[in-house]
Amino acid sequence: MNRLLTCISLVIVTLLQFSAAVQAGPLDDYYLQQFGASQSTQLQKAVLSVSADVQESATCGMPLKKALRRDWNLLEQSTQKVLAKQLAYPTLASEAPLFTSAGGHFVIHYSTTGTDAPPPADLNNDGVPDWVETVAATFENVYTSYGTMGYRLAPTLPAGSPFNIYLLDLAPQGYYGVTTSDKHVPSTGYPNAYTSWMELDNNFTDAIYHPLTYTPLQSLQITAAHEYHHAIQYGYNYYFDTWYAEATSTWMEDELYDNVNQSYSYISNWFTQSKLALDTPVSTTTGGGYGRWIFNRYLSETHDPQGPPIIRSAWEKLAPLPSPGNGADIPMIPVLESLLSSTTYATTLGTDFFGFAKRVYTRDWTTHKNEINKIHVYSPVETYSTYPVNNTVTLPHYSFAYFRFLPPSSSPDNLNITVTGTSGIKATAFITSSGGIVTEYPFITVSGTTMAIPYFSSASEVVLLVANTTDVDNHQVAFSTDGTPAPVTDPTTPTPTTSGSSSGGGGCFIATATYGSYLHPQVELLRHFRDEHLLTNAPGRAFVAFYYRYSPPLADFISRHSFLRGVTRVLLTPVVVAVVHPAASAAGLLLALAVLYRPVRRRYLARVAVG
Amino acid sequence: MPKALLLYLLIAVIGTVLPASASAASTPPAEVWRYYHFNGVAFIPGPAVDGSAFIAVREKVRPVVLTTQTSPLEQTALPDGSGVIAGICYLQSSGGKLASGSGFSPYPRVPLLISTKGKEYVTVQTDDHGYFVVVLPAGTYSVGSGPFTAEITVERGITTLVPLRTGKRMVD
Repeated sequence: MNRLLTCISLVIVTLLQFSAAVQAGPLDDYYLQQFGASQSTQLQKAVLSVSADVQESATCGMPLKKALRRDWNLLEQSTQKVLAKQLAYPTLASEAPLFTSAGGHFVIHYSTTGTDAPPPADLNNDGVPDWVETVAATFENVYTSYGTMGYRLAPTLPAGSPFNIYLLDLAPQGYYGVTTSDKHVPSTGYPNAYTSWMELDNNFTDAIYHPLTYTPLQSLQITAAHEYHHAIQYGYNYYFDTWYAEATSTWMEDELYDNVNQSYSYISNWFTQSKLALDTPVSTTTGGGYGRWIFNRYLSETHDPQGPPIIRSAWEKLAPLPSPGNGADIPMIPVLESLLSSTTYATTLGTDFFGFAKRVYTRDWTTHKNEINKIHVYSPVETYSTYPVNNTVTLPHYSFAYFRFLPPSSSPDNLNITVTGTSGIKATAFITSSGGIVTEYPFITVSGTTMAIPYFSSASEVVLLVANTTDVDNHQVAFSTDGTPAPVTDPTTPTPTTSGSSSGGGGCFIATATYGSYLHPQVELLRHFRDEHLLTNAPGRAFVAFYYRYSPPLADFISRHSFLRGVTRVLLTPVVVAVVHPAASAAGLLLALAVLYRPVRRRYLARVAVG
Repeated sequence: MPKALLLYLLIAVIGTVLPASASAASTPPAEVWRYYHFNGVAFIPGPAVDGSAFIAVREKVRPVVLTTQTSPLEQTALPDGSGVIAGICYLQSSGGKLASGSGFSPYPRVPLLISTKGKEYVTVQTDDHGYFVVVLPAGTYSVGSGPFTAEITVERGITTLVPLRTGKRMVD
């Protein structure tokens, strides 16, 4: 009887498994074929049975994705793995048949009705809205331009297939376009290359795009130049630093479409906040990222005449680099420092940054000369017209500040400026005559150096430029017009160069390594002790700074040895106990001392007696 | 025996005895659920206030992903000798020419490979909120694949929270 029941159970289970396999097979085949994933060699067997009538429905994206969501749990794990990212792609209502650009490099997804639909005008009566054709043609133009400039064009999967662009109404979100990473496609020299896809506003006619200032075509052109360079950037190295990605894409807008000039509008927020670091996180309000494009123009003007295009070289330099860890992005400043100090360029980022800061005032740009008036003028941090002047300024890494001196009614003929700065500071002064002639008075050193600037009384203005030309924060500079600048202090803690996107929370390194988790209750206790008791007073802060400076290598070593983790855990126990029960620990310590006092004293007295 | 060593051992003994007696009289950390939410960079203490998902963590218990604070939480004890890796897969957004597009989006229903000693151990899938929870024997594991891999040490009874950036969005 038992044997019969076992046999029946086996038959039922086998039948169930078989039916599940039969059901899952065609469903997996169907979705794999519909989403063009049938090229995978792993899945070749699965697509053999796909019928022609199934293939015909491939152009209708939204119902297919809805169905994929619905049937997700019925799919095999291997199929889910291949199709997971399909759920992240946009779903368009009433999606039209896909439109492939003339060069075959782009495929445009668009709707025929609804808010996402592009303008329907179809003057050539080919059944495709003219705007869609314009989008496709513009991207082909961008593709050709970047190819001519020698860039490695955006990878696609399968290799050589067209790049996907979705037209959507992005105006409610306030976006021109969005480019998103997709699949990892490593190759020799490009271990972190990724494919990507793009969303683009469907018409650029909404008021937020200022259609009276920039025509929809112009907005399309600069967005195509900008976003497709992001796609190229993903192809170089997924771990790019976002501030430099935006600086490059925005620079490219004006390189490819010189007559639009929207990019100049992002510069002012940098120049008016020039005390912010070069790699300030992306923001139009600080000029972070977007506004920094003008630095790329300086680099290009300075170096391209002598060698390979420097901006492209920067991306090529980045290409093979690994993430610094934990999936963080690669800070771009060290990459630029390394590139510029190579034998090809034989300079430093500090030198170029200072050169750029000077050009902000002198405005002697060598390219796009008819657009120099669009570049925001220098913005002084302070303007003086009464003297003497004494000031001290502290600057973060790669930042600068201008100070303006106006001649008072009874000014002396010379203006004497004395400058004292820490090791990372460079300074120079410019005098502009009433006729507009600019003369530079560079400070060769900034160690209490006095510069006598003649003809001040008849000048239009004198400006002092000071810049932190290093990757270390908090370099200081003091200046005065009476020869008594305040003393300055060198920064004590080197600043690791990070972008806004790659920062992480501070932790108790050794404790985390020892207990294995940032979230371990003991680590949490120590963290709270740090925040509530150590960081609230100067000696505590000094201890924390010292600890954070020297503990990471030790923590790393401990974390890799289980024996050391155990030993450290034992050693940390009294510390944890003291944190949790300070009064009891103090009492315990006193008790221990009391217990030890008697035998120790007895022994001491005995020794004295013997002596 | 040197006096310093004697003193240390005495303090260590007192230190070991004291918390044990103290914990019996008070609520030990292991008895408390702790909430964490992902802020786009890291998991920070506290539930999410914007209605998005967060995770409740408790020692020796399987963590629970929530969207609202409910009580009581289901307590599923962890098997002996096991710990938990939990976390979120997310898409990081940055930029915005006209409006800020910075932030993150959870990556729902994405398969996540867990491997150890170079061998595939198990594949889990993120939920609709991009969260995943996997109970594993104590040991060291790789979570994710390719560039999105994190090395995590699982300790007995402990939940380790891992934010995995599995995509990047440049918003303009």
